[in-house]
Amino acid sequence: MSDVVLEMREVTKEFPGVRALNGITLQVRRGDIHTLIGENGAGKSTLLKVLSGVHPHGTYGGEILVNGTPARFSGTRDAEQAGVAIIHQELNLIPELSVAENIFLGHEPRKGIFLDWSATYQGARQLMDELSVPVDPRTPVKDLGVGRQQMVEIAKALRVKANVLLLDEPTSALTGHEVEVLFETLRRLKSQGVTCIYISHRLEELFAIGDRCTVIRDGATVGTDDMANLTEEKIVAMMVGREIEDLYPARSNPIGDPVLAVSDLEVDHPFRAGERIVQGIGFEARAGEVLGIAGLMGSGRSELLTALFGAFPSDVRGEVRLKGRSARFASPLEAIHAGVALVTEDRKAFGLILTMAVGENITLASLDRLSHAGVLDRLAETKEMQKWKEELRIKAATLGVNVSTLSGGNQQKVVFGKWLATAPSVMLLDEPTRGVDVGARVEMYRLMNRLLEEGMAVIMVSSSLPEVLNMSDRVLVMREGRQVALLSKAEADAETVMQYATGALPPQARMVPA
Amino acid sequence: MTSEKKSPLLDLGPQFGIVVSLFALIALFTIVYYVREGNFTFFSPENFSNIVGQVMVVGVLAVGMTLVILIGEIDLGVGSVVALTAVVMCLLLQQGWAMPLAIVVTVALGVVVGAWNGFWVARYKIHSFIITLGMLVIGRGLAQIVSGRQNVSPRNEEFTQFFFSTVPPGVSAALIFIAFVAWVAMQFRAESRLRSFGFEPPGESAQTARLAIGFLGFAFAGWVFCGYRGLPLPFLLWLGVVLAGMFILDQTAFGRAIYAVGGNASAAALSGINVGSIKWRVFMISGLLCGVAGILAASREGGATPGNIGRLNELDAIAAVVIGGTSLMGGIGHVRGTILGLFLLAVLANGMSILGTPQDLQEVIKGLIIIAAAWFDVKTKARRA
Repeated sequence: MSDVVLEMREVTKEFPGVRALNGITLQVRRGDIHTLIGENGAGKSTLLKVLSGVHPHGTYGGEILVNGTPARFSGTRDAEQAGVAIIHQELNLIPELSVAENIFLGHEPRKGIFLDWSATYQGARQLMDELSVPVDPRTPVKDLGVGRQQMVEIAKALRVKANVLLLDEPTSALTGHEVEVLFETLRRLKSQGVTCIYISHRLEELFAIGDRCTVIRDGATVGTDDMANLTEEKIVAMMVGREIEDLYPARSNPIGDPVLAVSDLEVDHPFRAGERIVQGIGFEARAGEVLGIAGLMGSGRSELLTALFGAFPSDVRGEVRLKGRSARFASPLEAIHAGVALVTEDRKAFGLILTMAVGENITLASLDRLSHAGVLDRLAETKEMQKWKEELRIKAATLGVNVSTLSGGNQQKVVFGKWLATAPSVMLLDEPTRGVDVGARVEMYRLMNRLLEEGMAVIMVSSSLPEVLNMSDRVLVMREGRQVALLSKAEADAETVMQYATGALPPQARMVPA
Repeated sequence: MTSEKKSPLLDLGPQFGIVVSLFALIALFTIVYYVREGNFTFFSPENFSNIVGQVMVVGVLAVGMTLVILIGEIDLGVGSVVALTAVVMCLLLQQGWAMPLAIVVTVALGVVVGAWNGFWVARYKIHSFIITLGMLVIGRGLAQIVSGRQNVSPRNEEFTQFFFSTVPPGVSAALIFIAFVAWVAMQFRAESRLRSFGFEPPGESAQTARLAIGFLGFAFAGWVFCGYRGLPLPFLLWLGVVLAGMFILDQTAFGRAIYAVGGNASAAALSGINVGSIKWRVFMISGLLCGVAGILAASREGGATPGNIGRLNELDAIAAVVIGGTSLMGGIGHVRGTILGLFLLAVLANGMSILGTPQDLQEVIKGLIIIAAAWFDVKTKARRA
């Protein structure tokens, strides 16, 4: 099994002012799961877009060979016909349409001039069964969680009977179980001779699933090797071009008094009357500690954070006290004034104003403080922008450049800057390092450590188990909207957390704050 | 982060293309008219003063429309509200009300209508397209009812004269000169502030080009207004509205919130901005400006014909905003562009009229220009993405 199914020779791709690919050379063997890793902005996504025909032939330099013959795709359909299908990082589904309609979009089975609905639903059900995702193909995609939506996306690629599957960070929104399902599926496809090119930020995944690994940096191939010859340290060193001593920097600050105390918190379900989306929550977050919140997708973690921030649309009951004062906020503005900040999960949808400049995003939550009688104090505002740009080392030419031009890591730094400018005493972080490359992630962790040393309390939701376990002082586990465990650092290991999260272990008996 | 090299001219801003189009259009009409008629009637202070007079009503509406479109909404009702407020203004004067009181009541009526629109949009999140489409019908209907379907005359000489009053040419020249000096001072202050803030100033050649263009602009204004009857009072009123709009957008927290809400309402809300309140206030501003525009329109027409006054003003206002580069998606744009769009449309209409282009053909050409502007907008955005 050493014949080459796909080859890239010295591929280059330029955008105005940027050279995204700068000589990519890649050989992918048939039936391999070939992993691809590099920092954000290294060119991984561009590479996939060139391979899948999103950037058509003629818009890039170099040569692509599929099965040894030069491929000149003029669009994604060409690529699909050649057996190359892509699963994009950003979900390309139409939320209003059903699972089946999305899977067959543009290739609807027909009977004469009419759509053949039974074939559509049957086909969709078959594909979803193959992925062992029990979803009614009639369900509108918008009613599915992000994890399931990702599965629909994969089903879409399977439909075109691709023999080369390009996966762009397919697990970034998936939880443990769903990742396992995906991996099983990929292994099954591999046994059927399908080749996968698999991009991920999560090193542990590369080792779990990959046969070979190619590291790219600054748009060029750094090297390719068998997974067996590689270690995490080697890969990280190749990615950043230097050694990173420790992904999770240690801290030794003392833990102070409780800052935020929550008891008997429950949140009504926004659509279903009488049901709770979150209930039975009780914990204390102390100054200088990270309280990690673990749980599967849809276990109510984000809803809990949003409710604490006063931004959840339905009723919230129970007691929340911030430094002794009642803190059940009716709006984000109240929360901000009280010193609470929320870094949301999806920074493009909820964190940033992409039409605005870097600086304007930084001061957006502090405009009250930076204006007098509604008129902005431009000098004070600009000093504030400058301060956070320097403090967080945001890589942007000026404060005036559009925030959408920044890399993922730098965009996330802008979000952090926005919240730090409000001088919060509690930070709620929802997946703070999703879509952020290793180098920037380490910077984020260092920043968190510095804030903790200054006495901030951090509550962090994360789907990355290593992140939760390594960064948290205590871990709160949620399952189906309920708090099922509150573990000390010593108690919290990957196995225990997952057992509570999946229900393999019953909820802890005493669910009162430690 | 690599930065693109730009020519200093392109640094003049996103409105560069439309400035060029405006100049080209003026040059074209001047030449065509000269070739046909042998004189410079098109390129004369009198004609340009006329153009200014023709766009003042829509010009006031367009400032409000810019804010509305910036938050990602639309206000289709403005033309009908102009009719309603114009009729009310004339009726109040007819009843012998003192002019200041009548003005206050009429403008307040505009604000109430705006608050009504804003209420439905902000409170119940109904699309403004529908709510203001309703107002398009309601406003005109109310105007008909209140006036009894009659042409209403204000019977007030002072009021009907206002639109045609001017500041004497000598005083106008002095005012324009003072404004120019103030503008130059502001440019230098802005540059030194940019530098002190750590922004890159646009560079010497760009600064020189900007000053030169500004000088030409002020000189042109001086030539137009002093060469005819002086600065028209409605123009000064409009200028006040424009400057207020710019001040809101550039210097206030409210203005920043407008851009944030239009750019991403969810993210704005999570940053502590009360999205509903911002939308509500923007619609109230649009309503207020409808009141102002209604008064201007009634003064210009010397009365109000409820079926005609303000008709299709909403479309002209929206066209000016869109041609001026404000995105219908919200979040991107400025009053500056709207002014250019306004005058582009006005020069086009005036030029075609004095060349005797049939009205129907004029409409077709105007429509094509609007489509071209939208296409240009999409094209440049695609390039930026």
